[in-house]
Amino acid sequence: MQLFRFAGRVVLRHRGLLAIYVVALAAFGWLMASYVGTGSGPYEAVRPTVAVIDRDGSAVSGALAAWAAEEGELVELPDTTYALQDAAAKDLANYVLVIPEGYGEGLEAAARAGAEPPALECVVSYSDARGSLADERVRAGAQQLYALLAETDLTAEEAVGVARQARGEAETRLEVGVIEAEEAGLPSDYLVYMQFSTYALFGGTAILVACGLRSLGRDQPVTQRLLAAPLTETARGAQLALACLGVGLAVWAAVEALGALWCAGSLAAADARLVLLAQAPLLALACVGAAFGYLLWSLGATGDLAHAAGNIGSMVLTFLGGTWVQQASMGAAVTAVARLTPVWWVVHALGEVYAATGTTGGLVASVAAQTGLTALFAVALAAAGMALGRARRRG
Amino acid sequence: MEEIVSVEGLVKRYGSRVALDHFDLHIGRGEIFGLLGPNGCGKTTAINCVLQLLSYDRGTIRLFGEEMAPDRRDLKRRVGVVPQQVAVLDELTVRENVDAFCALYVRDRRERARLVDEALDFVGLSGHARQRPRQLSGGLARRLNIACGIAHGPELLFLDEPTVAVDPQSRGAILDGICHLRDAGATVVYTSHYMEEVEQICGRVMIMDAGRAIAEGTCDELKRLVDVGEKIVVECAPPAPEVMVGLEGLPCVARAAYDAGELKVDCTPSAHGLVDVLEALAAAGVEVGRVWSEPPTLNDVFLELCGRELRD
Amino acid sequence: MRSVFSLMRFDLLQALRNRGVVIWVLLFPLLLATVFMFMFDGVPAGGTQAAAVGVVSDGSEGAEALAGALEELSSGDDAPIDAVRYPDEAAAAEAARSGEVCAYVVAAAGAAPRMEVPARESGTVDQAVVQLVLERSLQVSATLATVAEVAPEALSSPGAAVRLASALAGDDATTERLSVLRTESSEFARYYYAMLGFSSLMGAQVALLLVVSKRADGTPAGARRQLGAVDPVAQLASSLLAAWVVVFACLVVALLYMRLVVGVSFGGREGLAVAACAACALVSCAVGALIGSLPRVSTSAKDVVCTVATMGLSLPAGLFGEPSQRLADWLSANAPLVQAANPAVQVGETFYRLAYYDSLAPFAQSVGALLAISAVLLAVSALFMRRQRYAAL
Repeated sequence: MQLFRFAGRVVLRHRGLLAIYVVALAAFGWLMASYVGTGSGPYEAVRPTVAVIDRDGSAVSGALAAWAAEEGELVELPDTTYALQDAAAKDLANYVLVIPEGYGEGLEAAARAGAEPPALECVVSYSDARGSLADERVRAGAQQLYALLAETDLTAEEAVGVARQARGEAETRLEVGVIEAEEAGLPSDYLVYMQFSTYALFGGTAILVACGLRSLGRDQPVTQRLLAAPLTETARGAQLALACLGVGLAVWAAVEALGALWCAGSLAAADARLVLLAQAPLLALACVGAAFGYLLWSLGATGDLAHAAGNIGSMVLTFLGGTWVQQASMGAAVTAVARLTPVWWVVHALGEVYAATGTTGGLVASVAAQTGLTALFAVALAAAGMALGRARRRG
Repeated sequence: MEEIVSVEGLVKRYGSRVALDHFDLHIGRGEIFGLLGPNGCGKTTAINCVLQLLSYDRGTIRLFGEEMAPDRRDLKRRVGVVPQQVAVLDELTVRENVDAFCALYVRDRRERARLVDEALDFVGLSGHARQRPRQLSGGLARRLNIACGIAHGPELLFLDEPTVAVDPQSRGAILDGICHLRDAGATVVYTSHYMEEVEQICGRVMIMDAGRAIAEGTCDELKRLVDVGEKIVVECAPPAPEVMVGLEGLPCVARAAYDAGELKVDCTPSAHGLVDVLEALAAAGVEVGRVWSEPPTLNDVFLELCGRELRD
Repeated sequence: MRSVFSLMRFDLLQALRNRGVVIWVLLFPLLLATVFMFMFDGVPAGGTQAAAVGVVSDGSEGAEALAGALEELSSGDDAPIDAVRYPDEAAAAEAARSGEVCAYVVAAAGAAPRMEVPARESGTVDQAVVQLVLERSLQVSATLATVAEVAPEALSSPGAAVRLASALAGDDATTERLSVLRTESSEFARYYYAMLGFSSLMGAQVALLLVVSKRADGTPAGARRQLGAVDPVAQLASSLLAAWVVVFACLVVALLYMRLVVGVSFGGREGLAVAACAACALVSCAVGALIGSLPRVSTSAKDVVCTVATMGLSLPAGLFGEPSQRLADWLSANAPLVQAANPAVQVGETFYRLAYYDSLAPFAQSVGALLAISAVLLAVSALFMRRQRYAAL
């Protein structure tokens, strides 16, 4: 096993590569995970950031503005086109309510006449659904006032008073409970960390193998020495392949150890069996990375090419796999292609483990099947590497 | 003779280590000056200081009679350098490389095209002009390295071990080329570990050790400096111990030893010992086969001055 | 100046023949843009899906009325919720835990409806939507009660209460969505702008390559060049100028590809977008020059520094998916100076502002920030380079 140990030592000496592709990538994953949060805790209704531009100044508009502000975080915004654009472009507010001049009177008149009420204006952020939620709330408030004005003889001020009082009643508040799980599942920050670690496990491993073992490449002077050594070709090949696998294992262990360390706080409450189960597909992916690195190495890819192949490959695969954009939001065509790639199966398996609250036979079987499928990619790539390497040697 | 390089009292320290210790160097126009010394003795440091690539602690450096400074581009224009490593750009072709480095000295494009062609012809790379450096063999790459240093027609040329890892044919061509440059009026500073090369082309030689010049002169002058004379080798049966004692007692003999059928006798300098040694052997009744005598070489001088033990 | 231009030819050749430069600075952004294009192709932009909610009813009249109301709200194209019935609370809880529904509602006789959310996914927008729908239905009775208390005469006519209840539950009130931005914005445009920031930093490799190959302690060829008769300042100037030309050209190619093939909008201001590329290329050169000038750092270590800087600075620009965009938003809100000093963020902002604002002032501000960052980086690298004229070899 001398060659195996020797090759492993050679790879580990590439400290710059290790720093970038293991430590830095893991740190990025952690950084992102820490902004996601653990996602657990008591229920608190979403509070969108809301800005109100009241051009009307009536009792109705005042009430609508106050309600919008109550159920969200109020952001001050001057009434200029620039400010509106700024708010929309920078996403300063999820929702900007613009109450047009004469809205209060218009609403009352329409209600009395049984006509359609005038429309409120709003700017809804594209970034997430919180803007739409705020819009729903505002419409609910306007509808309440419209109904009161339409079906009663109350003045606008009285209607506002009634609506405000009705809103204040305790029974209008819904009781919300939290379902406590019998066993704690994986925290969501750890899920994000694991999803992002797929980049390092595939690309990082591949680059470490391809670049780290470069000096043992077929066109390098050291190879002559290796060939001259009293080792059979099979032993040599097997030890080098094992060294590649060892690199994959080491990257996996390092990345996941860092993850466990950084997410230790949120992982403390999680079921250890689930955490361990999640490691299986990740380990298989590291093997795929090692096999891809072995393929690149067999092809004699030098620095730039290996880096390019590793990073571009990783980027495309993690994208298709659903690390960047959730699998559920992918189009059908993209999903069809994505299923042919290893990261998709890994992320899918991680999603299953995340959704589970305890280890069941079904879950283990499903994760094992997906891990096996991922491992098949590793076998295929390694076989291709071996065949190409042999062909090149004969050539 | 006009002095082209004049270095006096040069001191260069790296922390507490003294790399150059009051180093002096004087080279006249038209010389090929050999700079020898064991690894780490300060040859390359001295050259880098002269070229102002390195700062130094003390001393004066004059080139062409004028004080050298980092911004003396008028002086730099007259100097060429062939570094130890093949210092070229992998992205450019052979011709583009020579052109790129020549452009640092010669601005006119047409003039440069002529100079580049001449340099490529000179090193015999005209047929490889469109190739990239990594496509060249070791010898060709060395020749490209030289072409990049000489294309602008320098009056003073520094060659730092230009023949490392080069086959005998290429080496012969390179050495001929250097002599040719000298004949055309260039002054050459040449460093190498191949003593026979230095003996072959250098008019004067300096041997450095530990940052100082320990000997300087023509090859013959150096050989006279040290306690080394000719070496006599005699094929014979093992002589009796008293014969060996007798031999070593001769005034012209410094050392005598017998090994593998050969008696090796080192003579003292400026003594003609062959006749005395053969007479002593005949008197002792030793039957003699082939006999030959070698004059001392620069290598002997070098080993004598710098010692035979291995360095770090 | 003439010597700078005569040397530039070689620097351009060196950069354009470098495989790393071609792959990373020219091809990679195109590939990434293509990946983005396919990825976002199938994703519905901006649309909100109905929130799936479980309903558990005990079969009593009041409970069935609530369940029925929820089911009614589930029909239609624009339904805010999608109600799913479960036979008992255990089944609904299991569905909520596994993420099939965002929450479940329990309706029972004689008790107020109750919503249950899973512990790990509590406080989502979908849950707030369900909460809003339920609270609106609760408000109907509260409002009726209040009216009866405050103005009993209003409900005296027959059927008044029923009419008021149905009016309260109606959806006559409407809002009209304004589009205030110059260009229709989408959450995906942000990726492309962030990608231009990433590409600009990738371009720092060009300046790094060329600067290092001019430095005595960078490469053997660099040492050789420092012996030349051309002023080192002129040599560096030619390197930076050549790097700028290469990065600018690559960014313009990426811009054209994004505009023509991918269809990303620059608000009809393509000319200014090209001008912005000029500023981005400058900041790229400045980053490369700074890394290239770092004292006592080996050339290979500088490559590592360049890669780490590119990735690290691109992270808060929001390139790497939703989590990184959240990080970017958080930094913008809490550490705006950090974002202002980050060239990758500023490049993204430049294009963003160009496309979305009527006024060009914000765009000019971003370009100004890029120029200021470049000036600072170049000044620092000049300081490093001055110090190292007598570099220790």
